[in-house]
Amino acid sequence: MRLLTHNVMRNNASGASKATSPPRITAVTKVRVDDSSSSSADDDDDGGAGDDVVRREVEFARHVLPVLDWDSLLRAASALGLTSLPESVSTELAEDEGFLRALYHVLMNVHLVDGMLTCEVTGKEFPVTDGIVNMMLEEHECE
Amino acid sequence: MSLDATQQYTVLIEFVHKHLDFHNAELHSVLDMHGIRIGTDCHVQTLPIDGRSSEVRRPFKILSFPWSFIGCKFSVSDGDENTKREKCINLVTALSRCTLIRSVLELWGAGPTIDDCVESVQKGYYPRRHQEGKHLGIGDGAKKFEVRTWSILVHTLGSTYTREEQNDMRSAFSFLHLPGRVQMKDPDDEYLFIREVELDGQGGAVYPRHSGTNKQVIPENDARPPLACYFGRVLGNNGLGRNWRRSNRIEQYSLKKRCYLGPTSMDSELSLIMTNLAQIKPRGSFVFDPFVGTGSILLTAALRGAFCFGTDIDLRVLRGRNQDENISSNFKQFDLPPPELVRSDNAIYHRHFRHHLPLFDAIVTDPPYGIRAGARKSGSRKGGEVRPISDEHRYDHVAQTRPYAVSDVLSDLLNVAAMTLKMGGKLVYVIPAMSDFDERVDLPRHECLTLNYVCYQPLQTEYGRRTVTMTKIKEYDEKKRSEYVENTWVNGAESAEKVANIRERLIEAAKTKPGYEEKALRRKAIRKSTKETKKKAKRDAATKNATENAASTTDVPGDKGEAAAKDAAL
Repeated sequence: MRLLTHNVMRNNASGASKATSPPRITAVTKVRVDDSSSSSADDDDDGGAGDDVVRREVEFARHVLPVLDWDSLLRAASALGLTSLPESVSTELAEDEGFLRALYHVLMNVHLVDGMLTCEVTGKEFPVTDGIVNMMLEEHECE
Repeated sequence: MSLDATQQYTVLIEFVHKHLDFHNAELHSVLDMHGIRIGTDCHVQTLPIDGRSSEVRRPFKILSFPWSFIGCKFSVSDGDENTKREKCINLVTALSRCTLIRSVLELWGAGPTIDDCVESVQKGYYPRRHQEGKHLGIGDGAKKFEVRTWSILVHTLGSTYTREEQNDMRSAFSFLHLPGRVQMKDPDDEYLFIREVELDGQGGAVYPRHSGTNKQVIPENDARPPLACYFGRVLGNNGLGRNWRRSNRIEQYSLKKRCYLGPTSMDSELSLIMTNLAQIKPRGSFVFDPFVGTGSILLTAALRGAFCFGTDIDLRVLRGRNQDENISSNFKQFDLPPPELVRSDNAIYHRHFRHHLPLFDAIVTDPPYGIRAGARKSGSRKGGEVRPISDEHRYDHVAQTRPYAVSDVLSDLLNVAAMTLKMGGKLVYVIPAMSDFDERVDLPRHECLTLNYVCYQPLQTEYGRRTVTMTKIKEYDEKKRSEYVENTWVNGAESAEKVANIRERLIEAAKTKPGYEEKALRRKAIRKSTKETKKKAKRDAATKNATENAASTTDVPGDKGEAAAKDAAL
């Protein structure tokens, strides 16, 4: 599970309709950090593969920045031991390439492989195994 | 000769004779995505034809651009020096995204007969322009007209002509006096003469020149004039050449090459077309598949450069068979970044995710219709009162799922798309239907989504599937949720019913065919025998174990011992 995915999730038990922030990462057994260059996809319409990867990353980060829940991202990142993100994002920072690359790295290259997420409101736990979060509801939680 | 305003730069697009209904939609979608508008930037020209009215679909399309656009707004250069220039759209690069295009010609001339074609080449501006060679570029790689190697190929759409006959057709263009050397393999300029004939639905000639049995020329078919003739220079000569599909190596993405597959994996060709209908851009696109399955659709989205996100209710398909056979291994095979997978239920997407975010650029999916895989959603199988899971059972408990009606699958899909797509984002999905399905009234709708294309792909005589493309045009209003869901099916339950029971109806239809009974009996016998073989193998294994255990204490002579020894040797 990437932190980007974590950031768009929310507590989903029926009792937690008011909870709007992602569940908290409460257990971290295994984390994988990819090398940023390994995420290069083949792109043969223009040269300079390295340049292209950077451009792709920066553009993607700029793309998703407006939808992020920044406080939750900070909390999640610190749960995984990442402290490279600033407390808040100013408009100048949002255009800074270095920052956007660092953001991309945190959002996309860090995977929680095994761990546990816990809903702050209901205490329901969502296990993460092999990088896949299980968000399924139990029968009594459905409408 | 000077150019007057009425003259246009024309390109001839040749499609593969496959997915006929998708040709236009894919082309329009790709042009639109590159900001090329049909009607203002370019026009579709009618294909030449001699008086005959042709009912069949022709795999060609002629696009014309004002000459003044070529070289400034659009470039058709083979080299990539122009692609770097801002605001200049390289038509060749843009069109090469189309999965269904076989090749593109700079159309020097066309007409109903070869003589008309020659005449229009002579009248046209192209030969002189090419001779002047300004468009060939001034870089080091660009060769002057005088030294450019060339070849003329003859394409007759499946009819066979001898070398001599082809030479006759070629020599009609000898007036061009091309000064360079002839080179058949990788020439600088590849010219193509196309003799179009009527094609049937499968792409074969309706009036074949040779009979299928003794390879004799059929005189009356041979005397038949061509539908049209075209002559032009092949575009995309650097790397793409005559057969774009081969150069784009569409074959390598074939399902056969993948290590992880399921019964519902989408074939690579259709999913590549879907990525074009969804207009997935090479950088920064975020693509979602709520019924990800084996990830076959997302894989092609990732090939286009998108970041992929998939959810499914079935944990088994998400995890795959083992370490080397799962969704990620398919992505690794093509050196793509692995997709993000979450086990969740699309019926209650709004409870799993912060749904009010306009997050995705495109949703591309093949929802389950119960034909090969049934749909399920969270909830108790039995229904009625459900007790909460007690604490001591919590960790062992497997959440139950219950069947998920097709009509709800679709209304939820459209609703999730309306919620989560960015403005202008695309929803592309597949919907199967029997012949009674009327796409004008029976397709599901949503107030926030507008319909772009519906492309039909016939699978059997009565049965086929449609690929539907929609665009988000309106902000989603949470308060109108129930109204949205209610209005999904214009014809109410009747429309929903038409897609709901296709599996049953296919089986019903099969039963009416002659020979069904015998076939069914034969299949039953085969099933029975496989079952018995399996049972026997199991029994043998059990006895083998038993004898081995026994053998460790005493020697057991006889059949059983021998069988065990044989098994052990195997």
